[in-house]
Amino acid sequence: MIDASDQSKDGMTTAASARDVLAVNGLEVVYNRAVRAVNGISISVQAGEIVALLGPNGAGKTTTLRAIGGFASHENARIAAGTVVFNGRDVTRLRPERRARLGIGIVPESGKIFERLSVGEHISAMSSWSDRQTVEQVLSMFPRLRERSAKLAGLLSGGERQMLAIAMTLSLRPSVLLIDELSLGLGPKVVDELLEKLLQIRASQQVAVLLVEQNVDKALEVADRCYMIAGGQIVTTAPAAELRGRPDVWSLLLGQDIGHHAQ
Amino acid sequence: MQPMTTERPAALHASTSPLRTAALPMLALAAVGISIPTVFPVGIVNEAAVVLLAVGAALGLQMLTGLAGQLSLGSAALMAVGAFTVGVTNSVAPGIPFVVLPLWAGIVGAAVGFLVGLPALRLRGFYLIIATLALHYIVLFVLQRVQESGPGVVGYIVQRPDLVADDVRWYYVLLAVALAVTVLTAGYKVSATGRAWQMMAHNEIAAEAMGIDIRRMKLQAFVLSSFLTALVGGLGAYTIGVVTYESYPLGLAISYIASIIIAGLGTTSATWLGAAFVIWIPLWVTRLLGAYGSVQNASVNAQIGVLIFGVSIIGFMMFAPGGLNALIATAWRRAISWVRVTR
Repeated sequence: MIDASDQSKDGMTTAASARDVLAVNGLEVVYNRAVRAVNGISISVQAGEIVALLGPNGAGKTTTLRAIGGFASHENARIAAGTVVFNGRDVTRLRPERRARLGIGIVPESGKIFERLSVGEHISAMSSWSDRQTVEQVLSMFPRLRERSAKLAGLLSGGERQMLAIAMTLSLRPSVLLIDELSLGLGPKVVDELLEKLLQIRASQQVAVLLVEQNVDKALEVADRCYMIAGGQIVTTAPAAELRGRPDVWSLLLGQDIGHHAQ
Repeated sequence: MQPMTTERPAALHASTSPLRTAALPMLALAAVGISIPTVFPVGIVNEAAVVLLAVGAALGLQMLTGLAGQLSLGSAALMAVGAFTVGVTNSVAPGIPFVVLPLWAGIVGAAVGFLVGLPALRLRGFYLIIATLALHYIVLFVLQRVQESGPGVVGYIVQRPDLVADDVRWYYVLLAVALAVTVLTAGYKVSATGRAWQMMAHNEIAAEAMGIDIRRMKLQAFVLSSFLTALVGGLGAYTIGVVTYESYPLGLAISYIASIIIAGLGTTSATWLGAAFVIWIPLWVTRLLGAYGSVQNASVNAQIGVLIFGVSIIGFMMFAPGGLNALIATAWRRAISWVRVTR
């Protein structure tokens, strides 16, 4: 189903680095032709890397993630400038389902599963677009899903929903996984379990992860690198190891005193 | 968002063998359908024939609304398109064999459905309903002009081929078609496309994130549903024997919506009960009211029908949102557990 015929010519030149699986260059997203929620953000994610997008409410994290996934236009938003380059290909103008098939897997914050379908129906859906081996591999990562097969997805616990959503996305064999608020509304134990899974997924499937998180401490536990976003711009970018476990992480992030500045 | 119940919605049964689960009620329907002419007089058989047409049209709507989640008031207009295709083609080229014409009606309907599907790519919910309402009036306006420039008030006369001219034989033709459409709908429901439709109906964004091209899925749903509806409309022309635009009021489209809500959205076999409900309840109510002879009076029936449908839609939505399908499933489960306990 992947159509390579419209491979854009400038796609090759805008990629920041050959190892970047995802490169966002000078992205600007405008809501309702008026509100500039994202104002010139550049992000790169390398193969197998876990990158966290951190920042306060309304900073533009989710908007950035949705624009990468191709969902900007779904909320009266528009990409006013910049490019999204995936594996050396400019996908800025592609529709979301095309990006999903190319390998940009997105797990949105809400509405990520089909509440009125059973878990079993989710699994058969996976089998309809993916090979048996992939489905088996994904399900072996989340054994609880098979136990819940007869249950409606809408009746799953928050953690199980998140697992189902991640499993669905992984069944598409993405090379980058965009996750919006992995920890939102979940208990600390569940979050730890999910983060552990994330590390396993990265190790076993060579998937890069771009994680939008409000829970900075948790995100830093697994991330290799992080970007701090505020007011639609990148304030700081730094290796996660420099920030991990520091009580003054927020002031460090917002104080722009570490790492190198983005733009 | 509908309230989440602990009960599985009827529309989305997916056990290990969904087709096998669907087979038993279908066999029961076939058995009842086959035996009706042996038990009842021809008058009832003719009414049952109208029920079978409603089954076909309602299943077409189940695909579009029940599975793909696209609301439509266009069923009556599409049936009219099918009927007029048969009527006009018949009068222009009388030599065309019977078997071809309903299929041809379906193809013309599919083309209309494609055109309706295009605006549906941008419209949802209430706005889509209004757009399909506009479709209804535009199509009927055009067909009225067609009729006036052709046979006039009498309408197009359509005769069944000799082999199936007999009412009972014709009934069996319609029964076969209704069963075929039921099998097709049940098969679609568990197919990859059918599941993609349901995913799109539940959550468009999540469906797109799963790589599903929702524009294509919507167009497919509109085209297939319109094909079936217009095909049934074409068969309806043979059933009534005459094609006139007055046979397709908006109330007809509303009755099909009522039938799928009463049956349960996305159901297949239960849709037969919904169709029987919307055809027979108004008929019997008019009879019980002493309004004999109003069987031919489409407008009175339609008015009483719309009234009954309105009340039953509200009733079902409030007290049995899963429709007859869920009620029967619950009763079946209780009966089985009761048998187990008493044994």
